[in-house]
Formats: sequence, C-alpha cells, structure tokens
Amino acid sequence: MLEVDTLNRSFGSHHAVQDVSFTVDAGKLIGFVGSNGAGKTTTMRMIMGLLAADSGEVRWNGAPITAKDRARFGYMPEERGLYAKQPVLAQLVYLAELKGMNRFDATAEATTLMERFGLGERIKDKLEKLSLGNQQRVQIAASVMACPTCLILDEPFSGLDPKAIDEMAGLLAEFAATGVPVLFSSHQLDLIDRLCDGLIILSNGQIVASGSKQELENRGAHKHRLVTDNDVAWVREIAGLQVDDVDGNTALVEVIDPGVEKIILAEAINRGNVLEFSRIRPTLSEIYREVTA
Amino acid sequence: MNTSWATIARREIMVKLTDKSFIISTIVSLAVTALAFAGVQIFANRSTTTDIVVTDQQAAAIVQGTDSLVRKKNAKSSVNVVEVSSDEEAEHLVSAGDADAWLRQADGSWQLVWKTESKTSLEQSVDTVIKDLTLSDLARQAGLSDAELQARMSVESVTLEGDSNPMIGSLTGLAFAALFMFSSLVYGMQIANSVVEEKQSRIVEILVSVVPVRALLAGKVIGQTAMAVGQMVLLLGLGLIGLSATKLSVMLPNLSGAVAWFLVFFLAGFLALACIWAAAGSLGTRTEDVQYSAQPLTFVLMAVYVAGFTASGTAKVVLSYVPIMSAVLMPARIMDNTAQWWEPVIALVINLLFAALMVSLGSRIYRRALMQTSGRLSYRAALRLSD
Repeated sequence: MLEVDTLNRSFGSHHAVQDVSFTVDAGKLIGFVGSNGAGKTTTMRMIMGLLAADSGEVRWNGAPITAKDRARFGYMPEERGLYAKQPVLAQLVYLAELKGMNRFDATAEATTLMERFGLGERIKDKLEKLSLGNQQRVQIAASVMACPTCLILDEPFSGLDPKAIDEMAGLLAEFAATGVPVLFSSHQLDLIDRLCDGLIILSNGQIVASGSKQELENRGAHKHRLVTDNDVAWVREIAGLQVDDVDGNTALVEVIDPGVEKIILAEAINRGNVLEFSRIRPTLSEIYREVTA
Repeated sequence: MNTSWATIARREIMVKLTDKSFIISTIVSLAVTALAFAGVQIFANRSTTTDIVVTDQQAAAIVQGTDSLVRKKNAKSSVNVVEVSSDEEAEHLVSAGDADAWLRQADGSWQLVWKTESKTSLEQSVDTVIKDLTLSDLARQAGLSDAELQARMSVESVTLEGDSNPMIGSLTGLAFAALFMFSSLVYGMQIANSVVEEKQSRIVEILVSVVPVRALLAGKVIGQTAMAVGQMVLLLGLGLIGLSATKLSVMLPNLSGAVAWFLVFFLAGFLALACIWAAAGSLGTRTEDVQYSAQPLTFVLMAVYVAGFTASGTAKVVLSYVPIMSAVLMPARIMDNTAQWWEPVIALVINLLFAALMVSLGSRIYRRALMQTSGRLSYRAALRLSD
C-alpha cells in the first residue's frame, strides 16, 4: 500500500504541491488527473525520491519509504527516454539487472514482453529505429520488468493508438490483479473511467476530489430523468426537488430531500405509464469540470 | 549499492566496445603505430647487394672494408668486389648494368663511377672507409696504433647528473603530453556526453530511482577509466614492442620505467578529472551545453600539454609535483634520469590526494545538478543547490 501524506513542494514562490494526501491500496488502479502544471509530475517525482519534499511523507506498507523500496518500483517518467542508440533488448536487460535481476532471467522476461507487444522481431534494433508508439511500448515494458512491487507511471498512454492502449491497459490490469498498487496519470478521462478503481483530481497543486468513481458520482447532484406517456409539468408542484427542465413528457429533476424520488415515481405511475425513470450518472468529464472549475 | 556500479560500468564498456567508430578509431591508431614501426624495420632491414668493380688491390681492399662496414649497419646488406683486369672491362660492366659502380683512382683521388646516378649511402660508406684507411696509414707512419688513433679522434658525452640524451627526454615528454591530453580529452568528453545524454533523455530518472547517484557516477567513471587506461596500455605496449625491434631498443630499460610510471600517473590524473567531467555533463541539459561546461577542463588539459614540452629546469621539477601536470612531467623526468626514486612516489601521493578531493567535489556537483532540468547551470550555481 502506497500512502502519500500531506506532501508539499515549492519552486521559488510557486507552491507546486500543497498538502497532497492519498492512498493507493494493493491491487488498485488509481488514475491521477489534472491539467498541465497541476502538480502530478512533481508529486510522482517526490514519490520516486527524485525530488525532495519540503514537508510531508511517503509511506510504503505503513513505514516511511526507503531507497530500497523505490528500487523495486516500476517508474515511467513523464518526458520518457531510454538510450536511443542502444538495442531494445540490451537496455531492458540492463534496467532489470540494475533492479537486481540476473541477466538470464532478465533476457527471458524482456523477450516475452516484447513478443507480447508484437515487437519480438525488433529486440536487436536500436530504440531510435522504432516508431514513437513502439518506443512507448518499450518504455512501458521497461517499467514493468523485474516484478515491480508498485507502478508509478506518468502519462503511460500518451501517444499510443487505441489498440496499443488496450494492450497496455490489459497489462496494467494484470499487475493490479496480482496485488500491485498502480498509480498513473493521464489526460484521457474516458480511459481512466474504463480502467480505474479510483481517481485523484489535482488542480493548482491541491487535491480537489478523490475516491472511487461511484464516490465521485455521489458527490455531485443526484439528477433523475422521467419520461411518461403524457405531460409531466406536474413535477413543478412537488416539494423537495429542483426542476432543471421540463419538455412535454420528459423532465429532468434534481433531488434535494432524499427520498423525494419515490414520491415522483408514485405520482407518475398514478398519472399514467412510466416509460423511463432513471438516475443520471455524470460522466467523469462532467465531474472533472465541476471540481476543477 | 551492492554491485549496481559494476553493472553500470559494464554497460559503459559494452557500449564502447560495440560502437563502430570506437572500434575503427582504436584499430586505426594501433595500425598506424604498428605500420610506423614496421616501416622503420623494413627500411632498416632492406637487403641491398651492391657490386663494385675494381681493377687493383688497393681498391679491392677499400671495397672489402666497405662491405664489413655496411654489414655492421645492416646484416642483410653486402658489397661485393668484382675484379677485372682492364678499365674498359670495368666501364663496360657498369654501363651494361652488371655492376653498380666502379671504384678507381684518378689524379691521386678516388672516384666512384656510376651508370646514371650515385647512391649517397654507399658513397658515404666508401668515403668513411677511405678516410679510416688513410688515417691508419698516416698514424702508422707517425707511430700511433689504431686504438690510440680511435681514442684521439672521438668524443664521449659525460653528464654530471643522469646519463641521458636530452633530445630523447624531451621527445618522450612531448609524446606523454600529447597522449595524456588527447586521451583525457576524448574520454573525458565521453563521460560528460554520456551524463548529459542520460539527463536529456530523462532515463536518469529511472536510473536514479533504482540505484544511488554515487553508484551511477562510480560505474560511469570506472567504466570509462578502464577503457581509457586499456586503450593507453594497448597503444604504449605496442609502441614498446615496436621499439624493441628497432635500434632504439637501447632506450627500453629507461623508457619502460617511464612508461610504467606514466600509466600509473595517467590513471591517477584521469581519475582526478573524471568526476569533474561527469559534473560538467550534469550541468547541461542538452549535449550542446557540454562544450561550455567543459571549458575549464579543456583549459587545464591544454596547460598540461603545453607544460609537457616547454617546461624545463626548476619549473619542470616544481611542476612535476603538481597534480595532473605530474602525469606528464614526472615520467619525462624519469626518462631523463633526473628524478630520484622517491620523487614519483611523492608526486603520486599528491595526485591521489588531489583526485580524492576532485572526486568529492565532482560528485557533489553531479548529485545536485543531475535532477535540474531547467537549462545549463554554472559550477557555482550547482554547488549552491541543495541535495
């Protein structure tokens, strides 16, 4: 379990990260969202010990994190880079060896990963000979080599085509399924919606929302849509709700007093046939826009 | 830190060993050295047989003397006496190309008759023999033995300190200075470039999250130093082997000692600067920045190079104790035989102390500047940074 406890970091007068706290539980995939400059990369670099925190603490399995713990993490930096002029296999093996793997196992694992990504034929090629998307695959492979205990990935999906995104998403889900906490940042909200067990939204260095998607949905307004076979202007008469819109037989209402949705449904059934009565779940984009506004 | 530095050093070495331009430049420099010696050898061992026609016994004796003189210089060369009875026959042999030259007396002096052009080296040999023979004739008439004559006619150099040839001493100094400068510059630049390359590609973030910064620096410096010293050993070894096959092999005992010391000093001097090279690399964010950050280092190396062949007298003695400079000047003094046995030891100790200081300074800058990604830093700004 990775815990980030009230981290702070300033660059000169700019307070880049302010009292950021969150937890990534074992086996959870957590998305880290925020606009450019929100503090995601700074937070991740502090987790990886590349940047010292002004205050606050990172804990791994309950104890303050050590260099030894971090050495077993899989990390993918934002402005990614491997050795452009070195063959793919050689550098994957090298990085795994630095993590304490022996050469033989590292070669086997790197070969398997590259075959899985459809790059089995190209392991002897220099990295720079590969397309950007394929370089990105190699970069992800580098971060998941040598059985990482935790994955910290800064924008792992940027620059990937939909097929590659599915491959990588599948890979991350596999790691999470074995109990590895995974934290990754992304601008692709639909992807986070699909992949993540939870998300953390950062804005101007502060966490403005966090939790599972359901928790975030529940934070917002509870909106319902009602469609019947006749006019629904009567909803305006019911207390404890706010009517957002009425258009003929369709109404959009926001529940203010809990339980009022039952009254609406009973009344609608009284007045005729109910074609639809449903809770409207906000999309992540809507939640994101709302909390970062 | 365990063995991660060794893994890093091995990568630095493997990258070099599989780099085509490195392989080619090493092979070329070794080949040039080998060819230079081979050329000297071939030139020196070229077997020449010269036929000289004579018509009288006096000329035959001179040609025989020339033969033994030529053989002494080069065992494979010889001069043959071709005796004929008449001048016409002699001239005919030369003009027909069956003999190289005709040695004859004309108007009380000696003449070598060639077909088209003369051979200077042979002419000189014949000249020497004629002078020797004439002198010993005159000496005998004056009642002097050949040995006395030789003693009276030669001069021997005796130096009060050492027993050297200053010419060879300064040539060796120049060679050491050039080798030190080029090797340090090439490998130092490689260290700096390798650092900035990792910084530019941001792989350094992955590396530093896995291994301690000091292991990264140690591996890099050790790997590149091993390559630099290895290449130097190859080059100097080949040079010594080549030399042993030539007439200059008499210099070997002195030179081997100087070369051995040079290697030890090269190692110490290179190590002293290696971490500063790494620091120079860490100050930049792009490879273009390195040439600016490396300026102080190139300046120091140029100064060492210039001092290597200009320093003399007291300045040379004093500078041979100065770190880095000592790598070039102390071996040169050993070659001159002007250094006592303890002098290189003291200079080496001073150099190692300096190296320790530079390693600590260089690694401090490296550690602090490595994660700075906003433009090129100055040495001063890097030292002001916190960890």
